[in-house]
Amino acid sequence: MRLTTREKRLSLIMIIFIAAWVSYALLVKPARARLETLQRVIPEKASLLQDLKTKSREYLALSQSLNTLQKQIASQPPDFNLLSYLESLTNKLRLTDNVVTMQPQTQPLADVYNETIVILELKDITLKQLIDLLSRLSSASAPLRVRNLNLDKDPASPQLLDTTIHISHLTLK
Amino acid sequence: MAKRSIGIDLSSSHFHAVQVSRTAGRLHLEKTFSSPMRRFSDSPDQLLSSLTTEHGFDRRAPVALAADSADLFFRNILSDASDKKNGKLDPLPPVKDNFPLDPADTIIDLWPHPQQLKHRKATLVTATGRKSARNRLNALKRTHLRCELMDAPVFALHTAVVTNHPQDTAAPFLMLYSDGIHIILALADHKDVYTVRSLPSFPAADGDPDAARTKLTALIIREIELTWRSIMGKTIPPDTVLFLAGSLFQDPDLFSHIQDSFTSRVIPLNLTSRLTSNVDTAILSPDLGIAQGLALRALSPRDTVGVNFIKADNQKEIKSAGLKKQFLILVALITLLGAISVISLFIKRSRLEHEYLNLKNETRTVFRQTLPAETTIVDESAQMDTALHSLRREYANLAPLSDTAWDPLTVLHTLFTHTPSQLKVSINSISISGSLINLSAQCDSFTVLEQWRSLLQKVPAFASVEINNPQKIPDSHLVAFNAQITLHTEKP
Repeated sequence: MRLTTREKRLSLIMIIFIAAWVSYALLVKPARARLETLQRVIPEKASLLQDLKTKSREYLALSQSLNTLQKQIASQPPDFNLLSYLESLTNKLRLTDNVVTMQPQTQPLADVYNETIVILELKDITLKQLIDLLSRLSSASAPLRVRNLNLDKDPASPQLLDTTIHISHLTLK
Repeated sequence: MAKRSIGIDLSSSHFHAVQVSRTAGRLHLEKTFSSPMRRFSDSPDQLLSSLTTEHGFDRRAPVALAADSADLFFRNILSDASDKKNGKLDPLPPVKDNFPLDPADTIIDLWPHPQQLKHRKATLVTATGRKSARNRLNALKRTHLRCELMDAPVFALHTAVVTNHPQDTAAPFLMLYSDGIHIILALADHKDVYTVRSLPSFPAADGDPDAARTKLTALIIREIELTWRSIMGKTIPPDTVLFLAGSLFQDPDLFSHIQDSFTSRVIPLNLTSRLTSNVDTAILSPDLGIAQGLALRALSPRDTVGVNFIKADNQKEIKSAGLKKQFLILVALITLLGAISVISLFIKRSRLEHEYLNLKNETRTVFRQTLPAETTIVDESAQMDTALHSLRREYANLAPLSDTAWDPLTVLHTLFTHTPSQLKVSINSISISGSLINLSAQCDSFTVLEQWRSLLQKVPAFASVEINNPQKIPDSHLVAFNAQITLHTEKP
């Protein structure tokens, strides 16, 4: 088949046009779509990574603190009894006469721990005695914490205080 | 300094060349060369080469070449003012197809008549075959001759006639030329060639040459009258001149026949009528008229009548090449632009893919470092949220045991340290629960209360200090109030 110059030229233009269209459809268009997706997704992913890093730092810090606390709970003397300890402590600080109540409450805490809370009510103690008591509690061999502290000045004798202390003690189940 | 030029009249039957020069306006016929073309033994290349090597023609002189008479066509186009396109006559499209030549292989040049013909604007369209024209030019190129002009023989003849016989060309005149193969008949004046006709030339009949001369003469006279009438619209005036040139009319008997039959003057072309020459007059025949006319055309192309097929061909080629070049540059630029766009698109995509992959890997690494026990990873963020939530809940149970948690002793110490004794703030009761302190107290005045509050607000450990229900105690100067102090979640 012999083609005229005009037919050859038209055929060439058509081939170029088809090649350009096919290239666009198979290469350029998908590439542009992918580019748009990446431009949308990358900032989201970067933000997600930042968020994840923040959470990771918090997680690791919490995890480390938790381990320390767990070790502290696990390492307490096995025969430690909070009521006995408090009784002994009030005797030692000569507060036996000031004790109004010493009432224990035990409740499970999560699946792992038991929490014993003793409500210690003292009447007419001095500030110094209170500070001594709190100091001794914080340096006990078992992990003790004062959850609540209520102080009331005695109206009759302003130097003396009435106090209620909620002391918490955790043990492993 | 003399300006030289060469005219070459090359046909299938002869080869004529003339070199003329002009010095201070004076024309001089310097050299001539004439040779028959024998089909089997002579080649144009050899003859052209011999001009400079053997016959002393100037190699540097510009050359004017005659177009091939067998491949040359004329047509007068009459047009009205309405035919003008942008103020310019454009007769080419309808005319080009009317010549017996391949339109794609035709060179056309125009001779616009300076005066109207038949009361209309007119243009003499001249056409020749591109192939034959280029063959001739290539022959000149091979012999290193510089061809500047290719013209129709009739215009060269007109130049020769007008130059040599100015006194007889003021009025319209006739020109007749024949090389034995073609007869050219033209009607012209000193600044225009009105019309050109090619007449059949036939050899003498077998037996009676005189009868053939008579027949040819009758044909010529008839065609002359018809041509004159068709252009001028009247009979030939008695003072009209007919110039004869070419080998056919060197036959004295034919010349006599024409002279006897034509009612006006018949003049053979004289090549040295207005030109000085050292050339032997014996060899200066009217055969050389076209070659001389071509040389004169090359010497003064703007002052003489004629066309230039070289210029016409080049103009079309230049225009076409220019358009093609512009188109190719445009296509190349568009292609380059497209290629750059596509390449940059892919580079950008590749860069973003790499960035995305890095982010993905880093996310996975952070997650694995944080939660190495997690083997199945579906959504790092959601899984991290779940694990963190669970850990926070577990930690909340043990948080009061933490060193960073507030203990009442520290709280009391902080509070009393920032309550100067000179303010005389007397605290009646305190309740410390977690990070919240409630107290009731009294002081001497609201001013003292405000000072105390300001002091407490500056304590870094306290997140907020609120004074509630301040009031004067009845029958007393004292101010009673409640305060609520919030601690930061953890010790600083």
